[in-house]
Amino acid sequence: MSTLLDIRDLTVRIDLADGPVFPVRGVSLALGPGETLGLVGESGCGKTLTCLSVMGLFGRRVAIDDGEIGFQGARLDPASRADRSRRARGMGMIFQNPMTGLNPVRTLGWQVAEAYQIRTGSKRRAANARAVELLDLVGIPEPRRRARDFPHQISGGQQQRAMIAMAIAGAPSLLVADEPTTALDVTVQAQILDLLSRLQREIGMGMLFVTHDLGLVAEVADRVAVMYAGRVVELASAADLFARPRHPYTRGLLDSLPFLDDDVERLSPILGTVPSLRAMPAGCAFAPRCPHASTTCGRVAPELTSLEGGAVACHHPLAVRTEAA
Amino acid sequence: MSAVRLGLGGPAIDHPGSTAAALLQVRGLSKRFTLPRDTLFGPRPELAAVDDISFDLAAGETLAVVGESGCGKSTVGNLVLNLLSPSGGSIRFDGEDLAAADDARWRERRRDLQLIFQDSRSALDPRLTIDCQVAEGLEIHGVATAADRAAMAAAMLEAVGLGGDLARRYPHELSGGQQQRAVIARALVLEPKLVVCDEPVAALDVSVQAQVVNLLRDLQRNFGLAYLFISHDLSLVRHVADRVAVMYLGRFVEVAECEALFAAPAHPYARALIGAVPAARSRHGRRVPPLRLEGEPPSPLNPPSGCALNPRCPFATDLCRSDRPALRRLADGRSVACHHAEALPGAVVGPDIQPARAVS
Repeated sequence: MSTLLDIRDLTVRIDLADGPVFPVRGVSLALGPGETLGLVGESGCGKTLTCLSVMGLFGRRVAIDDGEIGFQGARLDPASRADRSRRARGMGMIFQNPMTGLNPVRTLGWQVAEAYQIRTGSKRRAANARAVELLDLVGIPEPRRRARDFPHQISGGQQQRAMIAMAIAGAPSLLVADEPTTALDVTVQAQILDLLSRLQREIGMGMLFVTHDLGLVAEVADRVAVMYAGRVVELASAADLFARPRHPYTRGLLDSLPFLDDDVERLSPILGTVPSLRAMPAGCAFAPRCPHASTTCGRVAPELTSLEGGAVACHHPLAVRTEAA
Repeated sequence: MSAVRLGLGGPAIDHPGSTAAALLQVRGLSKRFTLPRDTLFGPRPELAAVDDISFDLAAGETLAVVGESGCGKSTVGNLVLNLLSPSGGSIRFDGEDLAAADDARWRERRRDLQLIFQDSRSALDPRLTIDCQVAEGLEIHGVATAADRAAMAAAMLEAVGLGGDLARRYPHELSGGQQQRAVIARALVLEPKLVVCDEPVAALDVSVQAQVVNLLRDLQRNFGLAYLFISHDLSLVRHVADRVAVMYLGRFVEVAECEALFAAPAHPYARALIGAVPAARSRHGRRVPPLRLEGEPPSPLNPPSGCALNPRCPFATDLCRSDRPALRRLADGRSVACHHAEALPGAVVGPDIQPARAVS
């Protein structure tokens, strides 16, 4: 399988008034065509910044400090204009909040057509016609009429559908979905997930699916990368990750979730809180909260190493669940 | 405090979702908001945010109200706390009809009725240290002397895990989980009887969520608190609630014991909600199969006739389109507002029939 997206040792730097911080540190991820890679982690772990690095959507103070991103077999140069249009043609992104992702003063049809024109370079008239088809494809009823609506005239679920229509216009080979259903109600979330998996099958695009919801990622992703404090700490197939978490952080996350059919008196939280970007521990970032931490963990940051079909960044990876419990 | 004027045992039994000795008794509660006119001389549109809701809540009990955004669940909480005044119905707390209470009386009662907000950052005063904020409530209610108040605040902060040095900090010096603990301490230092928890952990990360949920449960046990727990996270509700009320478009559509609801929800909307929880959130696979609803919740400004769910419900009939179903009690004690609750395909799986489970 060739690689669609290849992130190598990505480090992102944000320049703040009192010095730089590094919210993403040495992240390596690969995604094949048609595959869905889930990226999970708590707020501030660097998952959204990883997406924005892929898309090349950075503000003034943010920059890729180290590492590179390969797309469709060739390295992307953040400064090159040619690579910018290669990105624009090949990638689409869905943002968490559809209302802020859409332009409030343009009609839905106009916005979808614009995205289609950028990807395909087609004429406005053809793009307008295609926009209506795309709105229909994402399940917006009466697409011809809705194409003349403005974002505020439709509901949140329909806005998210419109944003998906923009993201998939011109059939990109990579879709980056950053918390695409977090702002939606659960009954609508199910519809959007169905839509995404149908589109993915039809277009054959790879998907980077970012979420904080572990349950959701199990439904959607083939493989899952768990991020903590700017690093990937575990990478595994979705089934393995839930059945046999190897990193203590993954295990802690799973244990702290209440289950629908489980009667426990108390939940088992992970003690403590995520370290601040300014005060990252020298060794493993999870060591101060980890029940298995040793002196090595406090000194040496563990590398992500392959382990039985997955990879884990831990000096003391957990054995299978029954023994660990 | 005036004596209890009415026995609670008799009439409460007839109402859905009642329990023996109710601390809080809500009957026919409604809230309508009047909106600005669309046109200069047109009528003012009315929005029924909460429509004819009745429930009881006993001391030490947790009633969860679940539903999607805009269904009116937060409005229920605000009505109970008199942060909004109801358009109809009655709220009886500890035997006292709160609809009749004036502002002065409310100030006294507020000590017993506290609220935990979703967004702890905006709920805390940025210019006061945590211990001062916790003591402030005691001061307002004129409890004890200043020195005693400080001691009580310190003890409460200790109980929520913000003892010692942390208590002297300002809100911005605390993490999200610690801020939420401070909000909890501030509500509980007054020793309330009822706490309305409006999405208390929704803004927190999962690993911290569990800490706060454990804390809420410990405090409930220690102080005998009743919780009105408003949330959209069903697996969390399953963990904390004794009873659950499922809300759709301003009305309760199902009220049931927690275990019974999650094993076999009777209302199609409850089935859709529970079925939409990812399978990975169950240890033994889904017990409730997914049920896809068409479309999105309708606007409460223009609710459908008959059953509010009928345009989206796969089981809807002509009856559902014309008549609104009343909340009625089923044989197993739960209350459901659905014409066809017993007749639905795969309806209420009895406790004797084990649903198929994923074989590992």
